[in-house]
Amino acid sequence: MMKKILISIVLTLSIFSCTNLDETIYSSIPSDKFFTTEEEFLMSAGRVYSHLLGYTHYYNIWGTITVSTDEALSPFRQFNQWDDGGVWRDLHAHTFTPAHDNILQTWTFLFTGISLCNQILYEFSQATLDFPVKESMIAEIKVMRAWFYFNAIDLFGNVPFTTDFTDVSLPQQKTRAEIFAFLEQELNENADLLVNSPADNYGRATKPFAYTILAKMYLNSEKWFGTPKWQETINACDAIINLNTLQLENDYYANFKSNNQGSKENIFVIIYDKVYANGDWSRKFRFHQLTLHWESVRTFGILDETWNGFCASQSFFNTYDLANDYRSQTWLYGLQYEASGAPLLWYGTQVNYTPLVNSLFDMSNPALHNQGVRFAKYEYENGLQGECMSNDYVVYRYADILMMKGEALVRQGNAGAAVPLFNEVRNRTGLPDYIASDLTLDEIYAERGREFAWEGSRRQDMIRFGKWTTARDFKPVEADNHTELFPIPARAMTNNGNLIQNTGYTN
Amino acid sequence: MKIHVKRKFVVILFTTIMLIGSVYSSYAQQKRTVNGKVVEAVSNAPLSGTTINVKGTNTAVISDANGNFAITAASGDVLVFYFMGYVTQEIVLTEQSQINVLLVEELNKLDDVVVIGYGTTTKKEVTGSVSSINSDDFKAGNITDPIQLLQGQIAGLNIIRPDGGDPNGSFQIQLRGVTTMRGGTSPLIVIDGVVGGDLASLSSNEIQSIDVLKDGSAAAIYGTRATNGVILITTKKATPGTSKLEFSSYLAFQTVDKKPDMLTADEFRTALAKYGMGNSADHGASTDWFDQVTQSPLTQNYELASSGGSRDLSYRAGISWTKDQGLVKKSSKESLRTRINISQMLLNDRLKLDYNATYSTAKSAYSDTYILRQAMFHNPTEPVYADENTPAQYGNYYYVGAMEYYNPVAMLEQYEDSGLRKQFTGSINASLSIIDGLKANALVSFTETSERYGHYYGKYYPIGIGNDGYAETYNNHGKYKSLETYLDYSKSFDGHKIQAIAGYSYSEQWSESYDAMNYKFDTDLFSFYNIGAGAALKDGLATLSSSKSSSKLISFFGRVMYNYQEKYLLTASIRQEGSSRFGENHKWGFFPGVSAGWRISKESFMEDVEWVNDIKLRAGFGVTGNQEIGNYQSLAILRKGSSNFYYNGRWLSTYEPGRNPNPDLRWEKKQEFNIGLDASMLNNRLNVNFDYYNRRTTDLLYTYSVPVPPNLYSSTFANVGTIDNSGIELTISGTPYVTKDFKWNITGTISHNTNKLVSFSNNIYAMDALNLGYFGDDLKIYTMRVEEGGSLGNFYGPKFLGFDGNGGATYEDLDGVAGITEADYQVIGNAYPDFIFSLQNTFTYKNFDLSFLLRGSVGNDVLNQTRVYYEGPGYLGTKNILKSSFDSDYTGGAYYSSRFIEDGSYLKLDNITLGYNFLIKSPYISKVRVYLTGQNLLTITKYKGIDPEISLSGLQPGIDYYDFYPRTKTFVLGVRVTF
Repeated sequence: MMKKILISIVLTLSIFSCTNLDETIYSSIPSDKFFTTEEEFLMSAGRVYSHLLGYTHYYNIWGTITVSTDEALSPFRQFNQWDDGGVWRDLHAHTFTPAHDNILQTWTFLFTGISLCNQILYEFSQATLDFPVKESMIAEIKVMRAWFYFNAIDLFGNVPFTTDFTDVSLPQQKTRAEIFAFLEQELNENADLLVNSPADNYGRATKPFAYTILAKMYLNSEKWFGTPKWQETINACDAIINLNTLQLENDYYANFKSNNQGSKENIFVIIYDKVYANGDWSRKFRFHQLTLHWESVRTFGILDETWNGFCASQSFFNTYDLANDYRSQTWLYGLQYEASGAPLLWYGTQVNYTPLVNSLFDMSNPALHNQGVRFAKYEYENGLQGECMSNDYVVYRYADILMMKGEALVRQGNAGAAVPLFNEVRNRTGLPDYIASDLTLDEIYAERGREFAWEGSRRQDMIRFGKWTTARDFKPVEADNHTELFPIPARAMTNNGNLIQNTGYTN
Repeated sequence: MKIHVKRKFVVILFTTIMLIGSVYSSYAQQKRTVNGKVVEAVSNAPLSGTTINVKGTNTAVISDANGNFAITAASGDVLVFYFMGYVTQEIVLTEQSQINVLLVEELNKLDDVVVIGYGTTTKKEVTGSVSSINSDDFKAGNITDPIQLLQGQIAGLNIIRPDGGDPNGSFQIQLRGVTTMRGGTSPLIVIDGVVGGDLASLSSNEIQSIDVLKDGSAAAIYGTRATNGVILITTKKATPGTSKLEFSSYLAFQTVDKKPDMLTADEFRTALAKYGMGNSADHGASTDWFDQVTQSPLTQNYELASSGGSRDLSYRAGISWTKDQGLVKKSSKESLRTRINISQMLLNDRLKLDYNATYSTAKSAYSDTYILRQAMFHNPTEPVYADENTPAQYGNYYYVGAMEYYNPVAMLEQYEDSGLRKQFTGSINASLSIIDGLKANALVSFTETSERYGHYYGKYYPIGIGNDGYAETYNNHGKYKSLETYLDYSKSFDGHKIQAIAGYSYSEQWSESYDAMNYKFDTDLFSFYNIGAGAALKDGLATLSSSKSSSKLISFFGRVMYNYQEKYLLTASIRQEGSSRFGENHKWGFFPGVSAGWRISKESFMEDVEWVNDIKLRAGFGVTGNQEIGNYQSLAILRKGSSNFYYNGRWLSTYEPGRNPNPDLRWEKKQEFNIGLDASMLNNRLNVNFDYYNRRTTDLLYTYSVPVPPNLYSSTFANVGTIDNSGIELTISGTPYVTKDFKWNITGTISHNTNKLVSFSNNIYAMDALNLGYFGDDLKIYTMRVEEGGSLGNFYGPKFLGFDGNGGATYEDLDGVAGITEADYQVIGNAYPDFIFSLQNTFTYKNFDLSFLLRGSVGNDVLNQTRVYYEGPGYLGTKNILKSSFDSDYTGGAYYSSRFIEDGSYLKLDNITLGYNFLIKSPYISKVRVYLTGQNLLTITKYKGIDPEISLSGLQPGIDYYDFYPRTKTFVLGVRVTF
């Protein structure tokens, strides 16, 4: 009888026994079924640019490097607005720690960019397919990787370094100087493989972009390493100027229009487009929401809700000559009006943006809803909707090249040669021309502030000009200069035991 | 043997067979009509509805309202008297023509069948921790989902309805603590052997019994799906030889139990003056926003069930219709649930076929809890509708510009959100008796689900003004096929009893979905039924998506149950199971279970202990898994990127890796040790069940942060952590008092669980602490933290010391550095209760019955989010605040601290039912029952919010969010008629 049972068992099981557990994929692509055409390589490489959409997010790198300066703050406002767990006041008052969320987001943005480039370069290295743009595409990706690394050493100093996607070990930390040397070589080797004009490769890496990175590295070399590289700065700027592919726009604001792709001044932009380049929540260009009072939507005909948060510090706003400097229109201040010209009312009173801000964080004396002047350098398009502006965000523009070269010349003691460079930029502002004696370092610092407000340049400027640790509006003078580097995020320290934290921070 | 002897004795004692006037001497085999009456042994009350069947034939009748019956039978036939909950009696017919039978209630339920998956055992033989509940014990009321029947009934099983009185809300079920960080948390539902069933598609009227496999040794037979416990449902079947029609219906009325205690319009004006706000925020009206968006809901339910047939072919069919209105206006749920079961015996009773088919539809109109939040904090001095000052773009609604502040009535009126869900499940089970003791069983089942959801925001919906109407519709089609096949062999010899099974199981699931969104409509009239009409599609701003996925689960399993003289019991099972979801390196898992029992009362030294009827000691160990990790998570795949790449004047798509691949991805693994004791005492009038368990879940799935590079993304879905849970469960039930007319039954349960997060790091993945309980609005803070070695459910933040008298508050400063920073945060509470308990009382007096269920929880802390934000004048002006703001002189802003962590202990009168059974003397109607039920009538608690009974599942338990859907008091009037 046992035999009968056994037979039955075997029969029953063998009739039905299917043991195949492979997954059938329907709505995505198995990794080994891609990379068969040129277009497929391009569609993979293009990720490095769509990754950039995160740059302007207020919790990402733009927010980190902007709110930590005097050009922006987000005070705790009445009605419990903008407490946000203290991230904005910690950035602004330089009380950030390795646990700070924005700093983590910034780190993740940069190193995901690096890993992405490594992975794309690996895919290209595995390609058996040959196509005409392969070599220049590889150069582009290498230059983009260099830009991520440049930002990483700027913000964090010594960082983990790898260029090999197949190496799965935890990367070793390299010094700022070692990476500087790598970038110098990488950029010089690849710049010539790229096109000369940003117009020909809009929104992507070009030769002027590569040299802008180099110029910025050299400009900060003295601050970073004590080794001035003013002549190298000038040479890098000249390499761009001599291409003759760039020129200043007559109208300062032409660079920031909702339709700014025609700008001849912009060197590198992040392209936002409400249909094609409009990512998820953390990858939208939403300056309008960050800064405008919730009623200001009726000034501009914006359909999105705005959040009434970010504004400029009073001291920064005071550096403008409001009567004469065309660039002071960067800011909305004073009484506000609807598009129709009628007063812009909130609860029966007209909205009036004041430069004064009560406090950075004081629950019993919070900043009022109308305090702080608001940013309006980028055009707010009528009918704007979908939480993403269609203006392309300007990362670098030609005015910076002229002013960097000018600054290097001044620092070399050649202010006379710098005057025409600064005046070329200043011409369109309505302000009188500089003469050589005007060009003190303090003036260059202030002029850069007015020219590049909210363009991501201020942090480097404040550090290079020795202003980062000094007292300002809601921040006392700092005991040392450790905050010139951000802390390596606590999570990054936990994840990679090879890392040594920056001086002055405890995990 | 003592138990058996005793029971037989009882049976003999109470059963008398009266021979009245054996007038005729007839031929032995000649059929004649036998009359009789069935009565209850203690009360002498007639037992209507008793089935009387001539054994081995299809002849059967049912006793009428007076307990009388008439059946055709011959001398020598055996009459079987069956009435649920009573000891079944068999009587050999002699010459008599009149039989009176006393049926004895089955107090001793040791022979009750316990469903354990792929077979059954008896209560006395079961060795795992299994709890059972029979339809007789089901509570009455507005039961929208059968899972509600288990609430407060089974120790260690915590069931909460987190969405309060929302008719479309679901239930959260947690068995023996948190065992997962990211995997699924629902128990496995098995309906008549079909694994992975949907309980909501079944009416509770169709359920005969529910068995819950609690411990690892019992659940291990279900392998990778069993970690959260297994709930086995047995549906009602026909009683052969009878023909029955049951009709039941109820009406339920609901009222709000408690609503947020915000300022009225007059108080709001007082507050503006008190806090020096001027009168700019006074809009002159008096509006109760909560009343504006809520209604008094009514629920109706109607059910019909027919059953009948012969022993060879019988059927049961049921249909149930329920319309449930929600507390929030426009919300409702309409359910239609039908089922048919056909049983057939073939091949000289060797083959039994069971067909089951269920079809259910649910039509839902959803409410948006955001409306309730807006209504909660809306300024009570604002009118609902506009005056001439409101710009035309806001319709005729009163509009005040402020951040995330919307007119709740506009939200309600300009919004439509509906769903339609249809589900069909068909199964056929064939059971073939091969030789004596050997059976082959095969069950094939098929489920199809189709769902359609759609919502439409009108032109004047206050969020997204300018969208000009926004429509979205989502369709999903799911399919599930399964085969469960096994051999069952049993044999008894010389006091040994063996039962063994061996089987194979295969299941495959598919899901296809389609989603479309469009906006900028010319008119609101289309709702989402003409989605192509919106202009956003042509502008490139509409979205379309579709997807398909599938997964497979295959397993081999076996189990041996052995006992010697029903004294020493042993069960051992294995399941070797593979899932397509697991990574390449871990396709198959092994899930063993073993348990043993010792019935001490059967030992000779216990023979003289009269007051003990039965004592069994149990111990078991088992391994189970959790495979709810989603499809394709381990694979290296490319997906289409959300944004494009501008390349030489055109936009190219982008393709990106979907995730960091993880070929090691596998199930979460739980190992559980359980010891238990079951005892019956004092003539079975007192029953005690005790369990202690210790469960460790390893390989916890979570999205762990990883370094980038070398990884592409900063997180990887991986198996890393370990959680421990241990606890005790005690159930005591008894019949303290019983007389001829009166009976009192009482059941109490109590359970206690402690948990610990042992680790969430290993040599590859490292995580220090996990911040949870994020409050996104304005504060953007984490309110909870889990650390390695610490408890789950800890609230973490500054400790509130008191008010400083100047409008501020002081907090404990741990680091001595001025100001409260994260360095000053500490553990300020824990969401999990010290213990939860329930107490069920049932009183029967003649035809009346009264039962009530009390449920409670002790020692659970609740974070009151509403108070964090709205107790204090921070928002006053733009929003309304809580009345309790006046209790202190605090004038600061919203700030999280231990001030808002409250003791959430509670005692609830969950259910109280008063019923009456009419004795109907009618040839057509055999039984009528009417009942009155109150649900959630009373809550005793110190908690200041709406209700301290809130979600305890997942990693962020115990937070009373301000989006809470209020619970209601429910009054139910029901009737049940049996024809």
